[in-house]
Amino acid sequence: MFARIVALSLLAGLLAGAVTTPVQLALVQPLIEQAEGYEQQLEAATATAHVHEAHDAMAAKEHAHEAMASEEPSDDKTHRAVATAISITLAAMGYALLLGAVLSQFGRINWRRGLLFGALGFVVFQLAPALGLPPEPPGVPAADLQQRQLWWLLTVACTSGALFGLYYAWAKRRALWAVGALAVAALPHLVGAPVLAEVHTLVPARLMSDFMLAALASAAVLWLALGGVLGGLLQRFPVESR
Amino acid sequence: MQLHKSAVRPIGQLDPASAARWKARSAALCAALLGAVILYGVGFAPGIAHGESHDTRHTMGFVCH
Repeated sequence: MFARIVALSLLAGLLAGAVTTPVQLALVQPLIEQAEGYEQQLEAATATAHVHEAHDAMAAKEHAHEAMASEEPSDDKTHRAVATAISITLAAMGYALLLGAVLSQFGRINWRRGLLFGALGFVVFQLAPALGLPPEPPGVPAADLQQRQLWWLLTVACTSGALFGLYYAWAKRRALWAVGALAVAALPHLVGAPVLAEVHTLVPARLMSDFMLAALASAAVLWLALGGVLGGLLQRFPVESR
Repeated sequence: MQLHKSAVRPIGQLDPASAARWKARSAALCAALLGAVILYGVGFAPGIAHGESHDTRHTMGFVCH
């Protein structure tokens, strides 16, 4: 049973990755590259301001680049596109296994139900976190990493918990459970995501909002493709017992 | 008097329905854990792998920097 969930999920992840990659490259990639232009400008300016003794902006820029070289994307466009295709497919496979784990616990699954659960996955892992921590292009500083990670985990846990609560409320006809579930879903947003008081960036606000929409659209394509394909696969090859 | 089959089952052994449910739950849990490990790898793998997943991490809103 484990083997079947894994096999079907990985296959669904592979197909969802294949569907999402062109969307990502057409919609999001150009915005990332634009933002990187602003990021480099800011880095160069900061480096010049800090390296008084060198008086050499180029040297400072190179130094900054060397330090980050291992964690930066490739300069070669094809290499970068392939790397993105692979990593987005791997991410799709990871999410597919989570989705497969949940779907395997429900009885009759078809592509329509899969699509619904894919949409719920999008809400849990992209939309709800984006309300506080929207996806940001390179070159935009953010608040303390650990605090943001904590808030992200809290939001994913509360939103998924709330969805289970709503399902339970619907299945058992308990209105009070639905109210409780909505309160749990609202909790992280009442607490509030950690944000910087002041953001120093050269990236224009318009580019940031364009990126946010493009990133969410790309992620939505990934989740819906994942849900539909995995639902269809589980319909065709059902996991034997519940 | 004939005892029902499940009544003579040794203590600690589950009836078939519970066993199947337990099997399904644990299989799903293991699959989910594997998924979490893969996602963690995409988000936090060090060095070159982190650079290669740069654009995916930005798009999927991974909180890794």
